[in-house]
Amino acid sequence: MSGDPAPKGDRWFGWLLRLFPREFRGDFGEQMADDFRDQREEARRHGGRLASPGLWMRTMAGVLRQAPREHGDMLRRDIQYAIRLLRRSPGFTAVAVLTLAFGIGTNTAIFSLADGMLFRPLPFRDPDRLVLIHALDVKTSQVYSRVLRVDFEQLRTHHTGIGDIAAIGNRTSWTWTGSDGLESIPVSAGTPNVLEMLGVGAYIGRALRPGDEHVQPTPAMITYTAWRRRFGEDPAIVGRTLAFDQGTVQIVGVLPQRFIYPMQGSLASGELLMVEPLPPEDASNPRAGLFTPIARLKPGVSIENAQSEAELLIRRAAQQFPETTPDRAVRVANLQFALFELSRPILFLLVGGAAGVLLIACANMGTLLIARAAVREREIGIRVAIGAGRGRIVRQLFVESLVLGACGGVVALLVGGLTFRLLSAHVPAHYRLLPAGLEARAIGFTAIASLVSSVLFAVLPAMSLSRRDVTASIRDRRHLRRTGGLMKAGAPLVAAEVALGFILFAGTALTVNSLIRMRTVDLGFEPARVLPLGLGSGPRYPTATARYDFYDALLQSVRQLPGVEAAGGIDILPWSGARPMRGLFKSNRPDIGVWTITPRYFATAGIPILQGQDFSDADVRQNAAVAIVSDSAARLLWPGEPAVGKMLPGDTPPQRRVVGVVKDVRSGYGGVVDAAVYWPVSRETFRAMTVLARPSGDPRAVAAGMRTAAQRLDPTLQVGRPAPVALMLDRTISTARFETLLFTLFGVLGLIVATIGVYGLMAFWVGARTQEMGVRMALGADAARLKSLVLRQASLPLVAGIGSGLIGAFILSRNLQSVLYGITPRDPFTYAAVVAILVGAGLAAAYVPARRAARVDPVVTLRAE
Amino acid sequence: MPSDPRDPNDALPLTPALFHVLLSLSDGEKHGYAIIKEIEERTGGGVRLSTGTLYGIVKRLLQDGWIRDSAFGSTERRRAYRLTAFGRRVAEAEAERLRALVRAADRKALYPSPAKG
Repeated sequence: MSGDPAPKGDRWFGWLLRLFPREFRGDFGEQMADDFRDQREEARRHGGRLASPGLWMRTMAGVLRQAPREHGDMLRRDIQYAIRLLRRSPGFTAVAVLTLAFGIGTNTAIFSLADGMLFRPLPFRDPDRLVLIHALDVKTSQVYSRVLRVDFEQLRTHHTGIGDIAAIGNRTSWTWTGSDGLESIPVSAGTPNVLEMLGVGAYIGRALRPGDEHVQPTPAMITYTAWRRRFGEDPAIVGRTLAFDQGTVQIVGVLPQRFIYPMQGSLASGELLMVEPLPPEDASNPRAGLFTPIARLKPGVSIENAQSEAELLIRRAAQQFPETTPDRAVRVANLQFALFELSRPILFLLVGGAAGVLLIACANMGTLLIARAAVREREIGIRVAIGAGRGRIVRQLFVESLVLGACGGVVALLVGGLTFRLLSAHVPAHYRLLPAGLEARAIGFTAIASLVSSVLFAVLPAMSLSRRDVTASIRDRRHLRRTGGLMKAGAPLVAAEVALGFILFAGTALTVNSLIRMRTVDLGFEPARVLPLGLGSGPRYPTATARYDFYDALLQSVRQLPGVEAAGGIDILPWSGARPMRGLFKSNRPDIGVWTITPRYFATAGIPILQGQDFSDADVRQNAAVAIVSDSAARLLWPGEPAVGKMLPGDTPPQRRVVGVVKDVRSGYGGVVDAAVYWPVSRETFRAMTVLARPSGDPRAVAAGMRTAAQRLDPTLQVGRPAPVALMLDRTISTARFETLLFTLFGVLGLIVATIGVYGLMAFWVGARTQEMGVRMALGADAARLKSLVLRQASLPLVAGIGSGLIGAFILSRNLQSVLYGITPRDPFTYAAVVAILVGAGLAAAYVPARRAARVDPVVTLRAE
Repeated sequence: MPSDPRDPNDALPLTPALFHVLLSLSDGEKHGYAIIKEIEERTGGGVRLSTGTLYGIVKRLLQDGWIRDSAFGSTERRRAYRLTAFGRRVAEAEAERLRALVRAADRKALYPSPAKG
């Protein structure tokens, strides 16, 4: 009977049984095998060969149904057990959950910040087929946003790989007169096909489409944010007409919530979008250009193919229009890549920094769990003794980690949500496509991060446990608790934590240092006390003298305002980001820009006169051939000689005599010093200028006075609201401030978590060695010796961590170069400070348990022995 | 044995397979194969438990203390199971619940229509 089928059947059934958890198999496996053998025999006796397959099928189905249930049941019991254990040690659980929550939460926030730019597809139809076309200077390999119109036409009509091509222009300001003077709204215009090509519809209403350029009033769409902010999401916006000084538009729809203008940076982001054909008369104008065309490639056309065909076509355009430079090409690049090309490095730096925080948290969790596993050796030993397999114990550890990870993940959502909200409030304009809050993707990311990190930090304790002889722990508890295994496994982890913490904190220190330098740099003027008066599109006077007389009258009335200490004017504000077109020399030599100013401009802006004197009103009246030079211009033109009294060299006729030298002016925080030459304004050649006032008291009163003065002189004038230059300059460093905020977040979190790690390790080490300390004390060691013993132990991972962190930071900080100002990524002073802070924090963390060691009472501990 | 403080009615209703196992043990202890066979014979082949399903049920019944290993009937490899007092009360309660259901159906004269016969 037992001849042929029974052993084979048993073997197969044995394999089938492997689907059950080991415990279940241990309890019932043999019985099941026996029962099944009986069933088979009976089936053969009664039904012959035909009955057997039916029995197999039924049995297999039963196993397949039951085995997952048994696994689920096990898991549920493991989870219940884990929760019970974790609730029994609330201190450990709290530290672990918080560590994880901060580690993961930081990543959740950074993920939400970067997701739209780096990972999530753009909100367009088939975004992979969209490309951004840049102009390329072949000689310098530099890319530019402005593409020649003739090249655009060439691509549009002849490129076989391009299905459709469109463009959106830089935004402009449309104005209307509101209750409080001039108001303006940023407006963008795209080619008529732009939304159709992108595949963008309307949130409500309809999308703009070709043909809209001929409709009156001009159809326009409003962005979702503008709709919410300005119209409170009122659906009646569709169909409304809005009258501006520049024209009347009718809102035909609201753009989708996740719409983005397909242009680099935020230059195109108007609150209104309308369509406008490219001026047809420019189609063959070799001087005309437009900004960053976007194209949709035909299906199956690769970017490489599109690129090489484009190069060919541009060469043809260059031959066709000999006035254009032959050294040009275009660069065809994936739209998502090109849009965020400039933000990419910093975004990856942020993602890396956040990942660093999580790694530290995981290392810390590993240390905590190792320490805990060591404490629990006895409990685990007992479980092994009553028959739990090693696999079972390791599995239990993993489940515990997963439970911790899940708790950490839930709290991380909270931390991440709050962090993201904090970040969104400070986010610079070029961080785009941000979600309104934590979205499903971020929650999914958090779940995955929790899962991955739980597995990551569970591996080490599991390994350290299975390597040891667990059963020995019942025999001699003290022996195992004194094991060096903890130090062997825990110290490298803590060293890794310290190293990562060092790298992150170095990033913090460098960016903070850089921000401080940027913010405290000597600008050469006093931005807090300069009020510029902006005049919309400027007064329209036909002649230079009329223009001059207007501005002179304005300047005089501003000077008479109460609370004005000084007032003056300059043609181009040095902090505006623009430089004068006019230079001292037409060619060759390093050029020096020429600014035109009124007398008392320097006093108004707070620029000290170093030598000589300011222009006088008589200089202006008499068109005197005088000039003032900046310090660096003086050194450039007459190195080592006094400049006052020298004749100014230059290509433009009246030879000017230098009457003064003023301090250098920087173009803003993190800006450069331009060598400058100043000429007095001239009534005969006057174009325009900005009037500045220096208030002695409340700048708001002076600002209001300046507005009314201008409006009184010319009621048709569009007048801005003067605000101190310092406010404007502060906005220019918002990006630096934001990035510094993030790096500070990473660095401080990293430092805290690493410090907790050092503390946890040493506290455990001391706890496990209480007896030894007692013996040492009984043998005559004093408290100081014991303290230094503990600190020496702690210094091992600390020194190793700081050492490798130093090397790591040296290598990695190069990536920070682009965000640093006035400081090298390897600034020795900063590094010394970081080393000092980490050593201090580490020793402080170790000192607490060290003091406990020194307080050990030898009598008590020996009695416990 | 002190009476179990649990109320057997809390466990109701039982799944049919589970009730069959209790039913099969109600007239004496049996080992796994015997349970499967008894159920199969009693139902005329209508209910055939696979070993996997059976031992899933056995495990749960052991955990809840409705059945226990029999001290005398078990061999080294093969254990026999018997109802505990509580297990018997659960089985009885389930039987009573089913009886009540059937009585209710009777009152409504809910019988298969004879037309088909």
